[in-house]
Amino acid sequence: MQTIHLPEALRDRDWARAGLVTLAMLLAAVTVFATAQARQLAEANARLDAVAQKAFYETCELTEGLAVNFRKLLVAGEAGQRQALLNEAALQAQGAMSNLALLPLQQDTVSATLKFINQAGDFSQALSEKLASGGSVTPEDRATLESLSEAAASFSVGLARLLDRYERGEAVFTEDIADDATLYPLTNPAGEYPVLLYDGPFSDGRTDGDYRTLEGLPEVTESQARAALAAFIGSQQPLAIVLTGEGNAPVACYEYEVRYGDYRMSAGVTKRGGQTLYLLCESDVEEVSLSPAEAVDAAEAFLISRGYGPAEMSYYSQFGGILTVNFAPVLNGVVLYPDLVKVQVSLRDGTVIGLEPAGYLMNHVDRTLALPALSASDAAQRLGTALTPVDARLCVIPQNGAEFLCYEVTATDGTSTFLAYIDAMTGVERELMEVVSDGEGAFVM
Amino acid sequence: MKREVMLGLAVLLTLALTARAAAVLEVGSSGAAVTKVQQKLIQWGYLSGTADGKYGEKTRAAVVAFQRKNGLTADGRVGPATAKAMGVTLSGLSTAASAGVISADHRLLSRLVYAEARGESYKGQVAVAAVVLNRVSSASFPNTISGVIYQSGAFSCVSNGSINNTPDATAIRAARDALNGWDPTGGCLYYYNPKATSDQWIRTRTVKTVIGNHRFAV
Repeated sequence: MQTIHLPEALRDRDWARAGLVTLAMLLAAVTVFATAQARQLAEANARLDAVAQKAFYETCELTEGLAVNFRKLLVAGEAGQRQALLNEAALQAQGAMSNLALLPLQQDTVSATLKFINQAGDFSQALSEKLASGGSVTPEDRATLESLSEAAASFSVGLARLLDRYERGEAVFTEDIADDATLYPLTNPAGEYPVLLYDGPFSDGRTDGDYRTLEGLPEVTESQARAALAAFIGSQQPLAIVLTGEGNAPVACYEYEVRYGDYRMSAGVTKRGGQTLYLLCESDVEEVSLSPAEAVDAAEAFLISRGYGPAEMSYYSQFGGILTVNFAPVLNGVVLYPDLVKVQVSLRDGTVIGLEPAGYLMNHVDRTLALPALSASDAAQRLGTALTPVDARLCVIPQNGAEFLCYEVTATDGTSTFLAYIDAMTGVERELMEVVSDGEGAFVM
Repeated sequence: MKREVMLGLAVLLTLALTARAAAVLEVGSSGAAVTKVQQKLIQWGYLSGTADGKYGEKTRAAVVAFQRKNGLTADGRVGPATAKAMGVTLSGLSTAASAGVISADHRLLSRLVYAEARGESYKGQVAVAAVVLNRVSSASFPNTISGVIYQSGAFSCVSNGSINNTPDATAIRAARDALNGWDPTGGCLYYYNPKATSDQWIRTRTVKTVIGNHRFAV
């Protein structure tokens, strides 16, 4: 028995020892693994910190430059020098914007700063363009420059102090202490700086967005709105309309769910005037049995029958079985680009299943078009020397909330087609577009 | 800088001429659609050689032969009727969803829509895409689609990585319709799911409309 017991006892000890060794090895492996993981994590965090740090340093650097350039602008004598400074300021603002958005803060924290920098850059860009087309710095422009210069300077000084605290190891970007005082001036860049009015997309003076065609129209009841929508959609297929609510975006409206044959749509109808505010097709369309040309014809016939008047197809694009067609209304041969209406047609059967009339509802009011001061051939002569004009016609284009009567000059450089928009009053080239065809229609860029 | 971003003009100012011309192929035309026509003509023995995508005299003669044989007006141009007879879509690929993706910003916007709103109605998906575009046009946000989407703390799908999922066709279409100008939010800059957000600040914004699970606010 003993001869059996002893080896068994030995074996038990062996097992115990083996167990301990395994445990130790496991522990060592886990420790090595955890250390490696921790190092990797630390490295990843350091990389992230570096991105944020770079964003912070670059924001400081660019706003410092911006403040200096605004000071120089107030004393610069020559138009060419001013333009160069303004262009640089616009670039600095753009760069500061990109970096501000990357600081490790909640999005709303820096929104006042973003707006300030955005407007500073936008104003610089607009003034530079004005100088480039022969304009001059007005007393109002100078006053704006002075206030921007002052605001940029105090913002830059505040940022330098924040940077100083950051470099001394203070956790300025920790989210729970992201209150106004801690993060000044990022939360409130320049105290109160004046309202900025200029010709740029971020100007405080922009008033687009009013649905001017609805002004003076009577309020409709819900049942009138529903009847107007039913008449708008048509009666070729079984139609069911259910009210889903009332909205305020962007104007007071009734919202509906629509079933028209197999199509499910969402729709909005304005309370004022009972106009269709939008139509969106909830269902995808896969089947294609109509050609784009046939669908464009269907869209045009629809628009005319719904009272949108003469309009010209400006382009279409296809997605699966849905063709989106852009129409610009035409007045006395002048193409009205601000009044664009977009119509979506099902390529399965030509049913209109989408409508986006915002441009039309905002802008298609009675217009008195001025007589052009330039002739079409005058306009064509304003093209750059690399372009050969092919065709020219009158149109109205929107720019920064205003409208301009222009010649749309179709031109070629031998390989690509371009559209140049020459102001019919002043001869200034307001826009230059390249026509790009992606095989699904033509686009401009 | 701003103007390129605002799709306004890109959408607004366009050319009827070229779009119409794209719908008819004739001598002087070139591109993928011409290649497709030539492939068909070669396949059916009307044309020899290789499809080079350039509509020249040889292609014209082959098209005339095809039109005569099929009882079409033999004008040597490929319009809708001839294209239909050939089984060619002139306006490009008609089914593949990916064919609808045209630009880097459209791709990124589609990903955001898919990550943030794939359970929502179509209108709810267009609305989320529209909020991104409204931010691009707002002075208080970055000026590009990628700038808005990757702004620190702006979208949870960026922090949790779900923005990297591949969008479906509906999300791609929704992004595209928003780029084309559809905006069921009427200019809103924020949205949140009242059941899912712990952000108290966003609840202080004025809600303009509710679509599905999302409140849209300014």
